[in-house]
Amino acid sequence: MEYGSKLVFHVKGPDDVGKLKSFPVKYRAIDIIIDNPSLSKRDVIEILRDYVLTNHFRTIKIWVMRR
Amino acid sequence: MGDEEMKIDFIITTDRSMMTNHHGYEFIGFMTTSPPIGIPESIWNWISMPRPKVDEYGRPVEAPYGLRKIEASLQDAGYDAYVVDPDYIDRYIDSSKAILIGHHDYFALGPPSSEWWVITGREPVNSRSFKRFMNSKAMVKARENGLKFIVGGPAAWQWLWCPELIDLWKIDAIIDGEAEKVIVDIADRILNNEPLPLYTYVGVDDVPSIDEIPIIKHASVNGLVEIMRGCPRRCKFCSVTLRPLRHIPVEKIIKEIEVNLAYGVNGAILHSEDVFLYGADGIIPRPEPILKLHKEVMERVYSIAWSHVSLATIKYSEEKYRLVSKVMDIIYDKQDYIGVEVGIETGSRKLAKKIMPAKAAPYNPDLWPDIVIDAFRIMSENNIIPAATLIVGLPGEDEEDIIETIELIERLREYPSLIVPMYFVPMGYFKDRSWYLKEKIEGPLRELGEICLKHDFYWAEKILTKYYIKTSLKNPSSYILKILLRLLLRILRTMAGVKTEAHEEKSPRK
Repeated sequence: MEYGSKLVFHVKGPDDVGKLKSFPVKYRAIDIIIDNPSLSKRDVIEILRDYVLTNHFRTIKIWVMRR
Repeated sequence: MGDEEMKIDFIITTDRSMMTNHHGYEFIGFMTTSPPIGIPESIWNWISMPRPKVDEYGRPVEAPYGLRKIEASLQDAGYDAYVVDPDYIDRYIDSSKAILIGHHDYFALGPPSSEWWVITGREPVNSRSFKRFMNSKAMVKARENGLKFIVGGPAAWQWLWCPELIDLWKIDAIIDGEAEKVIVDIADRILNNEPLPLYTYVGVDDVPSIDEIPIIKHASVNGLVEIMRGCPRRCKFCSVTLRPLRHIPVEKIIKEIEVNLAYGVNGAILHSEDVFLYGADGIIPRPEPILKLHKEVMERVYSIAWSHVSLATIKYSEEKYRLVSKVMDIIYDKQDYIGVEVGIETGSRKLAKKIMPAKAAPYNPDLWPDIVIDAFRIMSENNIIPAATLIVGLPGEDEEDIIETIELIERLREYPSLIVPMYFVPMGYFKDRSWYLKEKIEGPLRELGEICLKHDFYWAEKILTKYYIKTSLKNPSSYILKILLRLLLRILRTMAGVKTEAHEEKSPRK
C-alpha cells in the first residue's frame, strides 16, 4: 500500500524483504510493519539489517506489531 | 528544592566512559577506546574517565553534547527531561517514564576501539563500562519497573550487530541519525502509551534545519559546540557525508558558548568536519566567516580547540589568503598552540582517487601526498598539532599502496604530530570473534605500524610536556596526571620495543 509519499510495507518473514528491495526509490519515508508475532526483536533486526544499512537516504521506521 | 521535588519523566544518560570530561583534556578520551595496557584498569579509568561534578540533583555540570541537544529538544517541547549522571539515576527510576541513552561507541565496534580490540584481543574499556552500566542495579530496577529504553547517538548502528542485547536489555527504540525532531514524537508516544518504532533511521527529510537545531541549555563536555553539520567531500568511508550540509550562524554558536561560560566551562572546542570550511562556498574557504567566528569566540573564552580540519583546506587557506596565520594570530593572544584531528587516510594516489576523490579538492587527487606534506608544514609553522588518522587494510588495497603510505609517513617525521593507523575491520570478524587482524599485520602493514609507533613515541612526550598538560597549583591533579601519562608512555614504549631516533625538527612560529 502507498500513502502519499510514504510506503507502508508489511513483512512476515525474510522472503518479504526481497519484495521490499524491489520498490523504487520514490518514497520520502518507509514504514515497515512486522506482522508476525513469533519474531523476536533480534529476529526482526537480523532480517532487516542489510536493508536498512544499504538505504541511508529515506527515513525508515520498523514497527513490531504485538497482539 | 530537595531531591524528591525534581520531576524527571525522561532520564537522559550514558555510561561513565562518556559521562566525563577526561580531566578537561578531550584527547585523553581516546584512552577509553582501548583496553588497559601496562597499568591496572582502575588507574587507566581514573586517567581517562573521571567522575564529573554534579549538582544537588545528580545532574552533571558538563555532559556530552549530543545528550545536551536531546535534552534541549525535549525541554523546548515542554517535557521534563534532564541529563543525569549514571551514578544518580536510581533517584528517579520510580517516577520516570523512560531512559534515553546516547553513545559514541556502545560495543567498541567503531574506530579506533575495534582496532585495539583486534590487535590486543581484549575488550576496550568503553564497551566494558557500557555493559556494567546496563547491568547495574539501577538499570535492572528500571527494566523491572517497565521504563522504556531508547538508544541513539553516533553508534546507534552498532545495535544492529548486537541484536541479542536488544531483547536481553529490553530496548524499545533505536534511533539512528540526527534525533532532535524524531525524539519529540517518541516522547509523545511514551507519555500516551502508544507503540514505538523499534528502529528509526532518520532520513534527509527528517533531519533538523538550522532553525530547528536547539541551543543547549546546560554545559557540554569541555565546551564543545558544533559550527557545522555534514561535509561536502563525500568520502566513501564516512557516514557524515550523507547528511545535509549546514553552517550554524555565529550568533547561535556564541549563545551556546555563553551557556558553557555560565557553568564555568571557559574553553571551546569548535566541532566541524572541517573548521576552515565554515561559511565556505562549497569546498572553497572564505576568510570572512572564519575570521569573524574566531574573533567572536576568542573574545569570550580562555582557550580554544578544533575538532577536525582537512589538509587540502589548510593548504588552500594559507596559500591563497594566509588565513591559517591570520586565525592563529587571533588565537595566540590566549594560547601557544592548538590541537586538531586530521585525516591523511592514505599515501596512495590510486586509493585517494578511488575512495576519497574530493578530499584533495580544489587540488587534483594525484597531488594528495604533496598536499599532506604542505599542510603539515603549514600547521607546524603555526603551532597547530595534528592527530592524524590513516585507514589501512581497505578492500582493494595492495602492497604498493601501503608502501606509498609508508613513504609519506617518513616524509612527515619532522613535523610535531601523532599518526594513528586505523585498520579496516569488516563487521563479520566481530561476529565470530576471530582475531584475524592480529595475525595478518605482517610485511608492509607491520612496517607501517612500526613507523607510526616510532613517530608517535618520539613526538608524544614532547607534545605532552611542552603543550598539552599545563600544570597549575590551582589544579593539583594536573601534576599527577602528567606524571602518570609520562609513565604510561614509557611503559608502552618498553612494551612495544620501540627505540626512537632523533628527528630533524622544524622550528615552530615564535
